[in-house]
Amino acid sequence: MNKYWNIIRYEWLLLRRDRAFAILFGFVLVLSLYTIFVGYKKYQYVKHQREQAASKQRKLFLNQGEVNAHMAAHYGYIVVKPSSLLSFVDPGVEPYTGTTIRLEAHQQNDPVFVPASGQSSLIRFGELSFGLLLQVIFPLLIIFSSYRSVINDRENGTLKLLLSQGVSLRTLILGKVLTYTMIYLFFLIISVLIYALVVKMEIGTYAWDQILYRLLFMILIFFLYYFIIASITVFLSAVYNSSSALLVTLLALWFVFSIIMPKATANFGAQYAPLQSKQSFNKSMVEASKTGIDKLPPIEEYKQHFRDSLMNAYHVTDLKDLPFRSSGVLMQADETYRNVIYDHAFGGYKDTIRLQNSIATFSSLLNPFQAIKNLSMAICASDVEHHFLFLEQGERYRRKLVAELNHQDAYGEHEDVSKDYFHRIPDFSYQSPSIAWSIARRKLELTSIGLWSVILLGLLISGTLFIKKI
Amino acid sequence: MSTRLMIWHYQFLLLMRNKQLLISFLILIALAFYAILYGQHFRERQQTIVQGIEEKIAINDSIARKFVLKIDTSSEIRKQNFQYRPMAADVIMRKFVVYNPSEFSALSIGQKDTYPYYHDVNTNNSLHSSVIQEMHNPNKLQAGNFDLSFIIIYLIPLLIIALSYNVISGEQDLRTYTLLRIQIPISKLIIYKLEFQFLLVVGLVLFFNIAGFLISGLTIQDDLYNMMVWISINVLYILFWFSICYLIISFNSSSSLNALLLGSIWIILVMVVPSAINNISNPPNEDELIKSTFRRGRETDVHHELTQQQALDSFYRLKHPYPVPIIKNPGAADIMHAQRELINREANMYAGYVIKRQKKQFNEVLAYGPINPIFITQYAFNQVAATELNSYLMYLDSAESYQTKRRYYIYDLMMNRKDFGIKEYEKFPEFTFQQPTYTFSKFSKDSIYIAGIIVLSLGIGFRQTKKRFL
Repeated sequence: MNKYWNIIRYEWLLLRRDRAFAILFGFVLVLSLYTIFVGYKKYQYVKHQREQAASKQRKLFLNQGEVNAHMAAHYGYIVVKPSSLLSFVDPGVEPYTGTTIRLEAHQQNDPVFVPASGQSSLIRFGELSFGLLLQVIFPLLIIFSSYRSVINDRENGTLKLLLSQGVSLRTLILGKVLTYTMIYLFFLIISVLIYALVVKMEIGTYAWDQILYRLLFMILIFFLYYFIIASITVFLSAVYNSSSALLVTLLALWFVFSIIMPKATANFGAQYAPLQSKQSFNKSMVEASKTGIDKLPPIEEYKQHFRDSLMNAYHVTDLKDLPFRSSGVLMQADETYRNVIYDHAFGGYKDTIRLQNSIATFSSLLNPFQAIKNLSMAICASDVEHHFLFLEQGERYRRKLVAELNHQDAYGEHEDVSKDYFHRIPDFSYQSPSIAWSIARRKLELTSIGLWSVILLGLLISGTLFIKKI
Repeated sequence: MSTRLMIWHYQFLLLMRNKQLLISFLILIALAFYAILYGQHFRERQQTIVQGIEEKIAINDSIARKFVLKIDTSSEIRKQNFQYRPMAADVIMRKFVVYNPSEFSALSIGQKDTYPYYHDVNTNNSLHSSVIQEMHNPNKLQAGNFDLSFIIIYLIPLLIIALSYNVISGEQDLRTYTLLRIQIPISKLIIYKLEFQFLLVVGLVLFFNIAGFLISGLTIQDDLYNMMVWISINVLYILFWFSICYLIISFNSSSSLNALLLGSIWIILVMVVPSAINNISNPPNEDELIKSTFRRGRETDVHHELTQQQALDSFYRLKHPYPVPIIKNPGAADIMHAQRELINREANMYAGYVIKRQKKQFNEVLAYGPINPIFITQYAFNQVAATELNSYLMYLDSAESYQTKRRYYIYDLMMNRKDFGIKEYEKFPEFTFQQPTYTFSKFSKDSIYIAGIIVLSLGIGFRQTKKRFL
């Protein structure tokens, strides 16, 4: 243990004397603070906008006066996804998903206001977020600061000296890997602490524990990620003889892993399992209603059967003779039918997206960057699964709202509901999932990071035997 | 053989012997072909969807024609009853306008995948409140498109760096520097070597471009001008990166330092600067978007609650782009149209605010051009391909004008109590939209800063080589 400690101290001493490292350190710190500050400002702006929009819509809903319950269901409700504090660390796919949905009777609307759809192609260069720093820039800095670590020792004769003093190459490499991992872990912890402070000031104790768990988990996985990068860099530094050739190789690897592969796998996925067009999606729902799906009969048959059974149950021959207004009950039956059709079609859409994304997910076994990218989005609740969750919660709310209004239409005292009626309907409230829920969907990525760490540790322990020492 | 040709000859021989570089070339060629094919796949998909829309329009058109042929407006009483008919024909026709993908969009997809590309322009709703967004995979949008412009913008600079970072320092590493120095001035050697590499890269990129043109179905007869502009963008961009490399090489540093500096410049220019500028651009104003998108139902009550006279008075007070008659005995249809016009005008007004803000934001992004040369290059590619925000907004503007023209054509028929038969039906205005050409003068204006950086880098580089390689 003492040997490792000495190597860490020695390496740290060298780094402290290196002006380039001091510049890198300052650069990292400034960038981290900048991204946290800008991200926080953006979060506050978006949060304010969404809260304002949601509150205005709620007011409109509450103050619609005495209206027919079914008309109110037609007018519907507009729900806005609340801005998440963690999404300013890693915005994930949020710039590409809609944040607002109009919920209404008879149909499921798509979320609208995809931020990217009103912007120039500059958005495709990404957002300089704290997440981007952690995932893409920090690994580069690890490469820049550690690629010469063993080559330098070999070139200036220090390696020979160290080996003659009984330090094995394995100990030396492991010590150097530990040094660089810990340095960047230190950066990470400092940045996360600053971030945590900002969050604490913003939210107080509300949902603090959930955010804290997510931050701690983030530190853990990024520690492993930096260990992987540092291990590859230092190991190759011991293998290569030319520092420039090594740097070019490492930059090429970084480029392939962080730029080419994620883009290529996403594009390949889109080609491999193309999504239905909106037109054919809608058409498939119309067809499904006409013919029926699974155990569900065609819609006309279903409606007729429902009407008949309703009249049989109340022993009447005309719907007008029912002890309640039939329109509300029939509309609810129609809703129930269409919900099944929609669930089937939307399930297909989600399955296709998951199939497309599975290419990238599987590639994470080869590419730790892809694994960390997906994990980071999951931790920051900004991946596609969280988007689906918002859609599901919105749809659940729509169904409850429409059912309530249809019930009112059928059994209410009057056809028009009173002014105060709408106050009884609770507002939409998005429920953020727990970290366990978020991570459970990223098992393969977790396995990838774990496997890479174990394999590289094994390589550092046993692979050094095959490296030319001097 | 002149010295220049001799050096080019040896450079070629060295290149042929460098297996690593040759493999990189092959990989790059494979990636470029994949990118071209992917772009073509994207374009074909949009075209297929557009084709589906056009087929639907054709079916609706034949139904609407049958409907119109049944109309009888021969008597005054019937004319009154048939007031709704032009509008009904318009609803049956359900006209869509399409933002067609250009041939070049296969080479530079830009933002074409995020913008809605067909709009329902039937006169019932404003096209801004009935936007149809195709279904997307947010992960795919986030990853970006693997098209030819990506290969040029991201990969070609890396190839240039890999070729040139050790153009002189490599000779120093191999101990051939002194030998060369006595045979040729090093400043000239650098230029000759870079000239060879420049021609090599230009040749390779030209090959990609020609392959792209052929696969995308572009022809010299129709697209020569755009092809020339496209190639010019490529050449200027390659020159830009060579000038940066020349500048760095001129400082006579080691291979490692050159690679480190050039790698850092690549990261700063391609990743950090565009994403930081993207951060500075404002997030969307959701409240404004809600107002512009959801203009129906409850949101438009204010217009529905107007008395007949109030609605007509408000309608007449509007500034009309086409003449409207004063109606002596207004009927229900006239009132309905007056209300619809008021609603659509309001929706267009809110959409106008959003578009105005988007234009302002876009101009702000362009104002950062001098420090954002990579985005300017992407922007230039997108201008040729008509896949940038400004092209989309131009299309939207045309679509809105067209919808207004259609509405007023119907008003003219209805308010003047004109006959409405198949002759009038066939006179419904047609939508035409011609993308403006990205001219050489526009391209020169946009790329003036890139040219400036090239001149500056070459100038400083030239002075430095004279000073440092004596």
